[in-house]
Amino acid sequence: MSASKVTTPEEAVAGIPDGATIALGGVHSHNGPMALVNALIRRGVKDLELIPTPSAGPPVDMLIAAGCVRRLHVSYVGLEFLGMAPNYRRAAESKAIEIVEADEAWIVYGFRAGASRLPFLPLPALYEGTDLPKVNDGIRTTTDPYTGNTVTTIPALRADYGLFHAQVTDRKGNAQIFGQRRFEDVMAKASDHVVISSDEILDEYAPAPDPRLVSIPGAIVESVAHAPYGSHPLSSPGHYGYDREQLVEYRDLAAQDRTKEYLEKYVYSVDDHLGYLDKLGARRLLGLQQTFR
Amino acid sequence: MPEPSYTWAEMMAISISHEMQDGDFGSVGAASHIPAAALRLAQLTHAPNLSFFCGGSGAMNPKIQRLTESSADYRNLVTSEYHFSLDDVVDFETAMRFDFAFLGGMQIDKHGNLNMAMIGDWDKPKVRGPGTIGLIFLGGFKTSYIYTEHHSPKIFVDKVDFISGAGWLDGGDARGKVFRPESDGPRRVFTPLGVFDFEPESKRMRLIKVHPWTSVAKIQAATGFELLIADDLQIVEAPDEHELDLLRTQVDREGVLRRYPSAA
Repeated sequence: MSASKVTTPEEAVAGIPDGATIALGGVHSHNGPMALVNALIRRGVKDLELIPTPSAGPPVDMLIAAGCVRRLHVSYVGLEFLGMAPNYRRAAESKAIEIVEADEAWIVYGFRAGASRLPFLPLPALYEGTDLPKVNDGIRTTTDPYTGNTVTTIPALRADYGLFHAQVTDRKGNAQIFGQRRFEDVMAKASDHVVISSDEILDEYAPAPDPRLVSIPGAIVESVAHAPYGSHPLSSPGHYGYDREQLVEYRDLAAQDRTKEYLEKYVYSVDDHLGYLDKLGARRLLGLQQTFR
Repeated sequence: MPEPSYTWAEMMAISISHEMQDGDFGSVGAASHIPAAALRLAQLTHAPNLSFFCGGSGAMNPKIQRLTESSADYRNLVTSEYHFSLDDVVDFETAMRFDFAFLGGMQIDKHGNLNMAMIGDWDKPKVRGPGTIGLIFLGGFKTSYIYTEHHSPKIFVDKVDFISGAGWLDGGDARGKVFRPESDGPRRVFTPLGVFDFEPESKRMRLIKVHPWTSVAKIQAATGFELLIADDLQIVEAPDEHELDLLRTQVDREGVLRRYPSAA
């Protein structure tokens, strides 16, 4: 039997080097591996290449503000109902980061190819007629050997590390992710090292979890960071809602180019995730709870 | 301006619902509560066999009773029939299984091309946009509905600075030369001011319905190109009480659409 994979958020990301390519889970205001992201920011990791899900939000904007990002694959980066992502916008406009002009197909089909280690995937006429191929030289064409027709191709995407947030995980890393269903498994298969943050860790004496609820199999998970409220200020579906007040605080500071104050208050001034939770306090955290069971 | 008894967001949801066809299967994007409300209202009225899924969450046919500001909200998911995965989404988009999709842009041009990437030059953007997300699939939907909560000359431009999603391209038969024949261009444009289609020959945006609080002249002034006007232009009447009541008691119980600013 292998040793338990359970660790802390800080330990779980301690080995991620500068320059690593990161697949980042989470959709809009939900299910972001925020405890892991905060630990990366606190460590001051640099030059990351980020490939988030096609609907990326606050964690991407925060990593950019903290100077952690060199290159970003963009499908959608924004704050959803709170508007534009200010740090992403500034960094892209000033060329402080390199933008891969991408979209949902690039990321989903790219990771699908990467998950199987296929070299690329061919697509029917979709990118044609758009301006994406003009600014993204990864979108190419080849001849379909079966029909002789020209097809568009996009390359496989793979990541060194995949970071995902789960609601419940066992000690072997079998991770249950509620909310938007099962693309994390594809991203995990396309990642060399899979790190999960999890609100709850199943006790070793607990009955075996329902396998139908497991989104990422433990066999491909390297470590599990026990991170209660590990997606805060984003939601953790079925456990707690997003912290609208703190997201607005972030948005307002970021819009005024004062993100450093946010990071100082919530990330740099505490030693670890538990320090972050201490800072927020029980009253605030428990007020976000949402129970569906 | 709308009468105080309803908001432009409620009117827009009702206007959109009237254009939905029973039996169709389509999608709405994230942060699209007006179309989501419209689709649910259509299911409760003339289109019980309409099906839709919400982008961002993958909720299929949520039994919406209160609108959430995030379509990926878990409360939206747990009332649905099925959870789409992202794999499902791109499969259906690429395989042309969706009859329609609701899409928008920070620029929309006279042929319904959409831009979400940037304003200005790609090398020197004036405004970096959030990104193209699912807009290339305009080439894979059987048709699409364009939707915006803002009608201004900055959004409705003669030509988009960057094509994230191909509408009717340069008009005429330009689109048919590029995409699979089963995939048609945008069918309607919905804004707070009215409803538009695309004139069949030129594929230029054409005003077909004017909302009660505005006029043809005001709509033209808010549009950055010359609009075509339909011969049988309709002036939309205020929503009838039954529809408004359904919207408020069955779809938008918490009054999200009622809280919209009254200025369109």
